[in-house]
Amino acid sequence: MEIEFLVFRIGDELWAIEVRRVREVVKVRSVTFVPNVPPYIVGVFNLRGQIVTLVSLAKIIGIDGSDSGDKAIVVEDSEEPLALAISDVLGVVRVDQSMLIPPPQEASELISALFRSDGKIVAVLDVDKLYEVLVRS
Amino acid sequence: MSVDQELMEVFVSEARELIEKVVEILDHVNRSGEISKESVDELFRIFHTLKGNAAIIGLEKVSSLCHRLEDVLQSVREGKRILDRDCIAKLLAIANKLSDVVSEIENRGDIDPILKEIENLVNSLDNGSIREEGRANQSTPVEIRLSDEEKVKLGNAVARGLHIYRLDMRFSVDPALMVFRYFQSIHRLSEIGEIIKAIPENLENVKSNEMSVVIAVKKLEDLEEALKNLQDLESYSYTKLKPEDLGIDVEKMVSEASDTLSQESVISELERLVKRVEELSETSASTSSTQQQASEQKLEEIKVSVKSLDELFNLVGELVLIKSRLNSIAQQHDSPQLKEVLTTFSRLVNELQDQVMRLRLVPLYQLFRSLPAYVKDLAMKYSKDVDLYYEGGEIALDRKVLERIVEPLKKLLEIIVRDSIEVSDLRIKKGKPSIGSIKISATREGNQVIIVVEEDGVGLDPEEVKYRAIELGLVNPTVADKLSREEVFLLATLPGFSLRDGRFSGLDSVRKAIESLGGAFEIYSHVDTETRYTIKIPVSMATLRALLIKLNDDVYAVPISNIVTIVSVDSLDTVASKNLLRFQDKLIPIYDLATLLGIDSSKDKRRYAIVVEKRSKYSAVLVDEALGQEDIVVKALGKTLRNVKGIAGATILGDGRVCLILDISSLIP
Repeated sequence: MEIEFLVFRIGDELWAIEVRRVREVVKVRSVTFVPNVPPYIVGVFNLRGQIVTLVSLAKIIGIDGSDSGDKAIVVEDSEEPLALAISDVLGVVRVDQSMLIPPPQEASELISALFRSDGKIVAVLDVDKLYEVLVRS
Repeated sequence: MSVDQELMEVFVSEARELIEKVVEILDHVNRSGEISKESVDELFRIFHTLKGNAAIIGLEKVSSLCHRLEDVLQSVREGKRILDRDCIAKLLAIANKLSDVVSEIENRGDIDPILKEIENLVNSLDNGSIREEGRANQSTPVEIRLSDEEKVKLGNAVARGLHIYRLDMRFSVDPALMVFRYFQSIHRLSEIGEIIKAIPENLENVKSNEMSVVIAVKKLEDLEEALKNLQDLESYSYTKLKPEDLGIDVEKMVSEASDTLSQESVISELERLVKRVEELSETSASTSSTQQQASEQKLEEIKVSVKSLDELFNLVGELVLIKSRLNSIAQQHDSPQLKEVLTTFSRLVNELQDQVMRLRLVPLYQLFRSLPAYVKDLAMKYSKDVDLYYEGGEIALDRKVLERIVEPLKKLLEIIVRDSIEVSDLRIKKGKPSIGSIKISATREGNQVIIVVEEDGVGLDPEEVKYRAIELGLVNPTVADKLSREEVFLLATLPGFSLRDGRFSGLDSVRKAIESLGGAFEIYSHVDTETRYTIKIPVSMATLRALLIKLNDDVYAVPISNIVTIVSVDSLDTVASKNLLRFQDKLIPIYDLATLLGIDSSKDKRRYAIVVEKRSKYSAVLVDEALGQEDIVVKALGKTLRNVKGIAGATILGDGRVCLILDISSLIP
C-alpha cells in the first residue's frame, strides 16, 4: 500500500508529513508574538478568522539553522489546527509502506519512520506525538 | 447615562408602542363600527399602564390625564356609558396628541401646551352622564348578593354560633397599592373569622380604595381588634346582618351542607390569593388587568433595552475569561474537588453564555430590507440596471455581527454593480436579460450563517486573476500553479489586487471585515454565467469591551473591567529601589508591563500607567500608549497556549492581526 507524503525542508534536513494530515500550506504574514511561552512557539496568526499557533519545528527538534521563511504547513488533529514553520515545501511523494524504515532508538520521539527519496533520508513527523509534546509542556 | 434618562428612554419607547396600539384599536373600531368588550378592556389596560409609567418618571399631568381616561373606559366597561362615534373620535385625537407629547418628551421640548389641548378633549369626554353617575356611585354602599355556595358557608357559620357582620372599609392609599391592602385585609380578617364574601371578589378587580366584606366572627371585639392593625385604613363601618336579611333559611342550610366545606374553600381561596399576589408582585405591571390570560401573556415577554443586553453580554464575556483563568489555576493544584466544581461551573457558564447569545439574535431581514434601495442607488451611480432579490431574511444573527456585516456586504454589492454587471446594451448583445440581477440568500449551517451573493455579470476569470496576481507580485508563480480553482479566486482578495482595467479592487477590505468577525469569504466565478460570493459568519460571538494599549511595537487588549483608571506618568518615586506611583494621595507599586511579560524592557520611559486592583490593593503597570476602547471578539487560544500566564485569550483586530487579551492582575506579583 502506498502512502502519500508532503516532503519539506527545515534547514538542511528533509522531513515529511502524511498528506492526509495536512490541511494546507500557507504563507504567514503578521505573526503576533506571545510572551511567557517556550522558545519554540513563534506566535499566533490569523488564518481566515481562526487563531492558529505557529511553532518552530527546527527549535522543537533541535535542528541548527533557521526555518525563518514565512511558509508554514498547517496540520490538524480532531480539535484544532497547528502551523509548523518550515524552510520550504519540496513536493508530494508516494512511498510504499514496505519502504518505511523504523527510526533508530536514539532518534527523536517525533519521528515515526524514515524513508529514502532520491537517495536522501527523509524523516516522517508523527503529528499526534507533536501535539502531545506541545500540550505536555 | 443617568438612571432618570434611562427610565425616560424606556418610557418613551414603551409609551410609543402603547399609543400605537390605542390608535390601532380605535381605527379598527371606527372601520368595523363594532366595539368588542375585549377592545374596551385593552384600552383600559393600556391607559392604566401609561398612567403608571408616567407616574414613575414624574410626569404627573400625563399620569392624571391617563387616569381620567381610564375612568371613562371603566364606566364603559360597567355599562354606564356608551362609546359613540364622537367619543371614539375624541379618543383618537387624544391618542395622537399623546404621541406628540411623547415626541416632545424625547426631544426635551415643552409638553404643557399639548397637555392643555388633551385636557380640553378629556373634559369634553367627561361631560355627560358619567360624571354624576360615576362619582355618586362611590359613596353608596354596594349591594351584596350571595351565591348559593356562599349561602351555605354563611348558614354553617350561623349554625356554629358565629355572628355575621358586613364591614365596609376605605383606605387612604393610592389605588395602585390597594391590591396589597386588599390582600392584607383578607388575610388579617380570615385569621379572626370566616370571610363569607369580599367585594371586590378578587384581586384583579381591585380598583377603588374601598372594599366590603361579609364576615362571620365569634365576637365583635375580634373584628375591631383586627381592624386596628390594618395599615392605611381611613374609615370603616359595620352592620350586623341577620341571615334572614340575606334571604337565607339557616335551618335548611345546615341540614344540607357539610361542615368542612367552608374551611376548605377558605383555604383554597387563600392559596389562590397568595399565588396571585406573588404573580402580580413579580410583574408589577397591569395590576388591574381583568383577564388573567392577558397578564399571563404579558409575562412571557418583557422589554429589555439593547444597552442592558449588551452589558449582560459583556459580563458573561468576563465570566468566560474568569472561567479560563480558574481552569488554569486548577491545573496547578491537584484537587479533584476543585476540578469537579470547575467542571460544573464551566458547564453553567457555557450555558449562560449560550442563553445570552440567543437573546441578542436579530433576523437578517433587518439588514436585507434596506438593500434593494441601496442597490438601486448604486445602479444609478454607475449607470447600470440592476435588481436585487433576497431570501432567508428570517435567519437570525447576533446583533453585533449583523451590525458589522453591513459594511462589507454593501462594499461587495458596490464592487458587483461597479465591476461585474454590464451596461444594458452589452448585456443584450451577450444575450443576457437587459437588467442585471443580484440574489442574496441566507441559510444556517450549525453555528454559522452562510450568506451567498449571486450575480449574473461578467465575473472573474481564474486564469486572468492568477496572471494578474503574479504580475502584481502578490503571489509566487510556482505557488500560483499549485493553487486549486477556489484558491485562485482568493488571490483577488489580496490587498492591492485589481484587474488590468482596474476592476475588482477592494475585495480585500470585504474579506478582512468578514474575517475580523471570525468568518470566511470565498468567491467562485464562471465568466459571464454566474459568479458567487460566499460569506460565512458565526451566528454569534463573545464580545468584551477592552482598552487597546501599545507596548513596544505590539498591541494588547485589556478588559475595561480590569482597569481602575489610566494615568499619564511624569515621574516615579523610588523607595528601597522599588518604583512607586503617586495615585490618589497614596504611593502604589508600579511595574513595567514588558518586564511582567518577560519581553524586551529596555525602553526606560513609558508614558502611561494602567491602575488595576488586585486583592483590594492598587498597583500600576506601565505601557507606551493607550489606543482607545473597542468591543472585541473573544477567541480562545489553542490548547498549546491554554495556560500561558497573563494571557486570557485573543482577538482579531480590524487590520487582521491577532491581538492578545491580557489579564494584568494575574501578572502582578
